Amino acid sequence: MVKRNDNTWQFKVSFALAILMLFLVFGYFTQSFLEIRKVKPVSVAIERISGSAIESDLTPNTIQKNNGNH
Amino acid sequence: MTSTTNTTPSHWGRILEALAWASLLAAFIIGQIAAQTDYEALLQKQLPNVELTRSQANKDLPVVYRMQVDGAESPDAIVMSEGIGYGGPLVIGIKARRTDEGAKLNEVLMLSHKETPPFMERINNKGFFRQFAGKNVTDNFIVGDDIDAVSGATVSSEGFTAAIREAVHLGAVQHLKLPRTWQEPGWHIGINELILVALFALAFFGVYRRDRLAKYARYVVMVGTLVFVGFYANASLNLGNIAGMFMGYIPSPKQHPMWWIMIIGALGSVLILGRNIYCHQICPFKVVQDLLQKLSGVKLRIKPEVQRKSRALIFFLSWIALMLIFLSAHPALGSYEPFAMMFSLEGLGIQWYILPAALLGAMFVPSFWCRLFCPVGLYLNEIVRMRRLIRDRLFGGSAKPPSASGKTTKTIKVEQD
Repeated sequence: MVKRNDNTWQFKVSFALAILMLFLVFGYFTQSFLEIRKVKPVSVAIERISGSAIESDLTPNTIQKNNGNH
Repeated sequence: MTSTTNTTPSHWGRILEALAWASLLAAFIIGQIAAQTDYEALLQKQLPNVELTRSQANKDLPVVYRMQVDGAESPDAIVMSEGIGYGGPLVIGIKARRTDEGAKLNEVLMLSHKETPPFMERINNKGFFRQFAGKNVTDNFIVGDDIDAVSGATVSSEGFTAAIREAVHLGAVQHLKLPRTWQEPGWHIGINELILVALFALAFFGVYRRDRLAKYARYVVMVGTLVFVGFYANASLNLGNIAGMFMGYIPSPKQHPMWWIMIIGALGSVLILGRNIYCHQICPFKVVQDLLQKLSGVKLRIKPEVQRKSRALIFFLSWIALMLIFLSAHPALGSYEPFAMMFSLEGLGIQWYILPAALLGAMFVPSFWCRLFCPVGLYLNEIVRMRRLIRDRLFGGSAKPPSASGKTTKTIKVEQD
């Protein structure tokens, strides 16, 4: 019985330390996330993909065709 | 990825695992597209009042920009260069101009980098880039020869110098048609590399021998790794190194041989020998934890259920870290390990609280960080586990999965009892 109580106390302290650590690691992730948000990688990537798609649509052939239609 | 366990994953576990891998792949692709270098945008950000035009006279590499300030042509041209630093790729603009004494460098503009901010601050504060001003394009640009590295940021110094050297010398040959009169950089195999090889050799010796000599070898490795790998070289492996490898941030062996020795030593021991030598013997943070444990004399037990779930927790944490790293293409933004703070006392914001918490944990719980949070240890142990599975499939026998702590399940059980 004594041993079980002793274990419980140990489990609780080690668990509390682990939770504290976890909390700090998530804090670090939040800090990094806020840094990344400033750069907006998703928006930049979408812009670049759509930019290259527009460029590939405007190949010389397409431009010629469009000019011909007008 | 998050739900892989020793038992077969459930239906939902498999779906989660697939989603985790798919999201990592998506983050990787997005990050790589977003990180593509736009020289003009980078230059314009640093030189907002300057009109830039790509030089048509110098169409070969390196890319050169001409500048106009207030409508007048500037005598300086900007030579663009890319390289690999400690944290990842970097982009540099080198202002150069022709003079009566030959083409000379005027200023180095750091346009983009992935170095840890405190290291970059140290490099700037020490005036590292100022030493390039006034140098002739035919100079050697070799660290230790005509360039001084910043102590504690040697790899970054080497990376920046290599990027400048390559662009300047290429420009000298391609654009200025100058003969190669400069010295080429050689291999940097010195005392540091020999010490690291010796530490790995002693670690192998200590693992495979059980006599008194092996015991001494283990003590030597313990002190050596703490002083040399930790405080001197600050070369601990971290999640950023692993993610960086996937993103192609691999330094040249000439530029950073210690990185190669460390990777070959750590991966070689798990792949060839099936032993995680790095975590047990070479990791300096493990030594710090063991010393703290000895000092406190307190050995709190972790609830077996928590210990069992730590593997899934580390996978989950490393998934978040890898998402952040891949999205930003910046390894330092996801590496949550306290190693750099411990051994170089450099950190940012909340990083400063992670280190004391990890040390506090290590005082009371044996190998606190290794057992509950370390992604490198888990990955290396996973490789050992997979190696055993493959070996047992091929040659028969049963595979015992190692724990996340870098110890076998059996050892942990003994420790828990």
